[in-house]
Amino acid sequence: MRLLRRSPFLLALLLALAAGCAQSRAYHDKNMDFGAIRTVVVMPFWNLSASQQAADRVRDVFANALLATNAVYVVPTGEVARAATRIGLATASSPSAEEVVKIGAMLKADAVITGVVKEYGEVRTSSAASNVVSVSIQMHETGTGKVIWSGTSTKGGVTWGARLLGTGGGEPMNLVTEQAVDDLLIQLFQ
Amino acid sequence: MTSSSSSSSSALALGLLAALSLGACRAARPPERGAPPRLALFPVQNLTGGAAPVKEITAALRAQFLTSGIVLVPDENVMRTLAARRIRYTGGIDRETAAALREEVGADGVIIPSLEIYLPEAPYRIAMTTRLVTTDADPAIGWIGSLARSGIDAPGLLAMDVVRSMELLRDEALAQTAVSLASALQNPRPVTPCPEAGEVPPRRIFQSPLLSDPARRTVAVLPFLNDSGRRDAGEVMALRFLAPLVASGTIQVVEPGVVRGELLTHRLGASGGVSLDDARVVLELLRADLILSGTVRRFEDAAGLSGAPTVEFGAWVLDRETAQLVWSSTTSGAGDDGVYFFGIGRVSTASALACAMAKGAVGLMLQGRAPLTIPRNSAGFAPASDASARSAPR
Repeated sequence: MRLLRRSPFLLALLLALAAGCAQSRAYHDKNMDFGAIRTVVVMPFWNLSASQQAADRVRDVFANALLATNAVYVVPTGEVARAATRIGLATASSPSAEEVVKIGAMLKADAVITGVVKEYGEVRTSSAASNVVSVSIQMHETGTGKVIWSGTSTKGGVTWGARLLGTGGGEPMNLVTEQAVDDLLIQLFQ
Repeated sequence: MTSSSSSSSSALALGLLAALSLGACRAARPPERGAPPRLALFPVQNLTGGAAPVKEITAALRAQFLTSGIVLVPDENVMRTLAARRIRYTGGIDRETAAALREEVGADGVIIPSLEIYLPEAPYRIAMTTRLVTTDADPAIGWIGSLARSGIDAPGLLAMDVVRSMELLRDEALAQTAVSLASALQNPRPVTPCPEAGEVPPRRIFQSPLLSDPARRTVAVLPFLNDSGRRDAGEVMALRFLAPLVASGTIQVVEPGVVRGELLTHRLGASGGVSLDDARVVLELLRADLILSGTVRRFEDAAGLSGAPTVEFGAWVLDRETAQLVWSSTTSGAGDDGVYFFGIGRVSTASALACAMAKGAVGLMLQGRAPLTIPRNSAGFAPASDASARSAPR
């Protein structure tokens, strides 16, 4: 401790290393064969941010990025809306296990993805501003409705450099969203 | 000599109209040989999201067309036919309206102008998409021109080339449209959409190999869902996709008025996206192989002189045969992306940016497709058997 007090540089270095070694909080069901998943339904995301369209925007970017991997096929959003209406889902963004099974059977999908947008928009400190996105995603297997994967990602925000220099703006919202979605896909496919 | 050259150019013009309308019904009345096509001009459709002097612009556009030698049928006759049938929507033309204009007014085609941006204050902006649709039993797009300009697009040395009035900019833009149409009627060739803007490719794409299947040759474009704050942005985005699709010459595009007519007739809404069931119904009704639509997330024009427009949208294409998505993309950008020195390469209007993005998406979408073959007879007309070019219902 005495050494750390005497050497602030060493303390900073240790803190940086600790931050770099932080584990991503993803959950994978070890008994699940993810290679068997061919068709995926992306349900409307739950929106906990102040922006009204945040959930739709993040869902759109996520669904397109998932399609662009060419690993799975994502059912079109209009088809999901129709299935949710037919089943009579009260809240399409948080289906129960039974409802997941029903949706999967109706859309012939192997998995259903639900998500929560926790933050979406601009954050400010005293001298700097930047865009931030925070998303959590869950994947449910349509055979039983249980969660087989869960991941979370937060991207953007005010950096140290921006705090020091007082710069504002940061990266565009869509770019930050893509970064968060990429991070989630890395967690999913790793 | 003059008569001979005039006659040959008229035949070419008629040939263009007939040839580009691949789905023309064989029962359609053929235009008289030697006579230039008689075109009806619809009032300008206002998609600016605000007020715009559409009557003035329509009159100015009419004057420019007449100056360019395009033969227009009397406005009164067109209005009488529209009023008799209680048609108020002039942003497209369905089969019934086309038949009425052909039979009652004698129009061989209809010019449909859509005004997308009109800013009468400095720095002045105007954006339009104008298309020529045949009045055959199955209306087809014969020509489409898109432009988006502002008064400061080419300021020149010491800002000497800055356009100083809206009337000047408007007349330049309308003259450009009229010249382009007159030129296309005389010498059929692909028209580059919004030549003032480059191409902006989408950031993420999913593309199925089915999209390059030559058997899939007809696409219907639906208005995009509008999640932006700007009114009519969904319609504008769909129009901006039309131009590069038509210009590609590799796929047939169903006239949006026909699409709208079928959607209204069968009460197919677009709230929350088009389901596959709805899309299948639309595709069957229109005898189209593919359907293109999407969602506009942001469509903002530049504020003032120094701001930059921003556009963000997602686009998708559904295939009728497999009932699956064959294309999905997201695109976003600003007018000053990649601009570092002296504003070189800056895009000044949201319409021009949307057009550049649409061109980029369509370029990737249709890459590898062979041009559609248009067999013609000795008179330059597409033979009636071309009706089979449009895919039959499966």
